[in-house]
Amino acid sequence: MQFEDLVYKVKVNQKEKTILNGITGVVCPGEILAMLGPSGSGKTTLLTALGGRLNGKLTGKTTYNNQPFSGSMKRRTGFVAQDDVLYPHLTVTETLVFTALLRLPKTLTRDEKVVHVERVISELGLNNCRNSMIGGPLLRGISGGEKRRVSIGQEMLINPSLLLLDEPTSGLDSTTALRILNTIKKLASGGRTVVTTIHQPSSRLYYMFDKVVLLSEGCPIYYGPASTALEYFSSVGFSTSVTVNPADLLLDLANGNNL
Amino acid sequence: MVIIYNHFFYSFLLNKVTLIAILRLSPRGFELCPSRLQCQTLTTELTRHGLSKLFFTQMKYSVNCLLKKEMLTLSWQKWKIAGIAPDSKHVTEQSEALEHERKTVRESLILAYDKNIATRLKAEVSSMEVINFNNITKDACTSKCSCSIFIGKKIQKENITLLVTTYLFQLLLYFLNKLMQGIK
Repeated sequence: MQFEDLVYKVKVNQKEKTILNGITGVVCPGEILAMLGPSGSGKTTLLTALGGRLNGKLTGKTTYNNQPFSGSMKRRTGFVAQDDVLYPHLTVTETLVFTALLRLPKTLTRDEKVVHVERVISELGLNNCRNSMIGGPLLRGISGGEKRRVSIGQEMLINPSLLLLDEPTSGLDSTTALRILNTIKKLASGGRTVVTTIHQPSSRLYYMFDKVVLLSEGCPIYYGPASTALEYFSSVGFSTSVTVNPADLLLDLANGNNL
Repeated sequence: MVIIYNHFFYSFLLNKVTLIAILRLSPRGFELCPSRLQCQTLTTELTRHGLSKLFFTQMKYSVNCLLKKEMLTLSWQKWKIAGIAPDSKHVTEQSEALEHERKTVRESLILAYDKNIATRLKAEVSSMEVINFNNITKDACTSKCSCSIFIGKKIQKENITLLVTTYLFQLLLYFLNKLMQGIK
């Protein structure tokens, strides 16, 4: 997937505000691109734009396999939103079977869809909680990490070529976040293109990304391999003598804080 | 200004002289409450020490507030009317400087991005256009039978069935036509 000079503007109180300002990048199959930046920097907007779900004044060029965005491409794109929208009274298996029945083609029989769900459950490591209820505010259910994996599983059912994830680790502890990212990494290594927004990843998580886009108020300030970000900022005069989590340093810079 | 509490206790430390005052935080600034303050003593003491700066500590919070000499030498009546304004100008100046510094850092980072990354990236994107990723396949899962292959095979099988049926139907129509022509 390639995106070139993406610009997105909205009108706020009859004034035009630039949300995304000239963002360019390439993500190849098997790679994970992480979008980093402070709150309100345009991460989710960019992700929505890449998923072809953004309405309004979006300019620039986005291509998937050198093809422009189309309905068939949308069907092959999985989008995991920030909030888990799940039925609290259904079990994990029921949730995924229900999604499979709705989203998989009619050419597959019910039994085939169930078999497909079983594969996804085992792939995402949800075997232990397969018969547990999802739960909600008034009903005890599965953990936050498991809910996130169910949400990813719902998108995995359609076997997407492009997987877009909005804050897949938010609100999770470091270990669970690492487990989720391991799952995502495994999915990417199967030949999928993965794009994710992430807020304050730990250093272990940070080094799992192949590429990073750092946004500051809609403007890109870094694009490239995650492993060379510190080196780059050091070369342009922003370095620190203390050992820090690279993601923290990047966020400080995106906020305009001098080191 | 946001009103946090109606009253604050402050301890004014002037060498060895300690005066207790009750200040009220109002939209206009800090105001002295006359009923609980020996305002005359305070004014005298402040003038005697000729303070240009007065640091006072708040009991609950450690606030370092700067008072100007002009404010301190004001008569009580003036205090009563105008109140003692906190050094809001100083605070504003500080936040403006911080904001300016942030803006400068951001601008320099954006410039560095344009100079070092943007050009190289655009060239990379242009060269990537010739590469076709269609030959790269993805696995749905680790099991032997990938889900995409599974669905694909099913669709392929159905397509062949449809094709054969259409062909047979067309053949039947052809013979029927021939038969009708023979009858005529």
